[in-house]
Amino acid sequence: MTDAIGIGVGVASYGVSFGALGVSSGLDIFQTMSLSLLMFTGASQFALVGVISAGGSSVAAIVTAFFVGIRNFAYAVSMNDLLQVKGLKKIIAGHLTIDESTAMGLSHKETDGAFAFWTTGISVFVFWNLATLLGAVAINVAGDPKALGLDAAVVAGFLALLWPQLKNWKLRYLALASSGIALLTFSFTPAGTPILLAGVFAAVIAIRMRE
Amino acid sequence: MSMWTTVLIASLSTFALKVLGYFLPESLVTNQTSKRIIAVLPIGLLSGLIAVQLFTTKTTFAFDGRIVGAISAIALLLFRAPFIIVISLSALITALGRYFDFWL
Repeated sequence: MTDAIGIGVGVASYGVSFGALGVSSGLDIFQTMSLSLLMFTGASQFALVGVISAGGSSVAAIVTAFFVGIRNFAYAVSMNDLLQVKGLKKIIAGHLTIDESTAMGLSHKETDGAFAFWTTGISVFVFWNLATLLGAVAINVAGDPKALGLDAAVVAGFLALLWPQLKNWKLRYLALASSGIALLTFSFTPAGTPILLAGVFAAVIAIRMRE
Repeated sequence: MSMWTTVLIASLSTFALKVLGYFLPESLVTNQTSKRIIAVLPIGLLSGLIAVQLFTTKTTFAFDGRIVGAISAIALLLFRAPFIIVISLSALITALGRYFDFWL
């Protein structure tokens, strides 16, 4: 329980950043809040506003957010096995299925995984949304995003999300090559497309490196 | 597409991903190829996003204060700084540089 609250508080720092970045990317406070309430998966939310602020189309933004969120699908499959929920509870469990709740659920598998999952999910949901609101309101009051260095903060945020995923040199090279693909295709494809192409490139390489 | 439509469709599709997992058999994601794609897709997409956010504006390539912010972020990540510190310090460094006219 205290762990669950601790994680919620920790996540709140991402939430404040997301609220601020959402509003400075051209969404209003209500749209930014809707993402935290309805989408409720940080990396996809950051990706969506990232593509929009880069001038990408709606379709590119939606597709990017979807593919960034695809790991939640895998989480849901493994949590279904652990939680054994039915009916409406499946829907609520689905909404709360994110990195933190899944990690807590799986690491408490031997004792009470379901309790750890639910408390963490609810705690993160509450803190994440309060923090988003705080960030969105604060930046609305503070003014010029560029003078505040927020365009650099967006990049820093993505770097921080990517960092822990680069577990070995293969993945680090893959990340570099993917950004190369995005830059190479930037000048002759519609905005937002280079990001998708980087994702497709990474997936194709992953499939080909079977061993 | 309006911003609201974008927000709602995107939210619905990521929500569907999470809920779908509770209704499908586990064998679908335990196969090696799906596992690898699921692990690697976010890496490719985030790398693409970083490159675009760092080196371009809406229409052209651009090299400005964001690069200093990104270098600060990488340095902080190497020292295992927490997320909020990485974000706020790199914003602060970029903002200060702009204020004192060191970079754009």
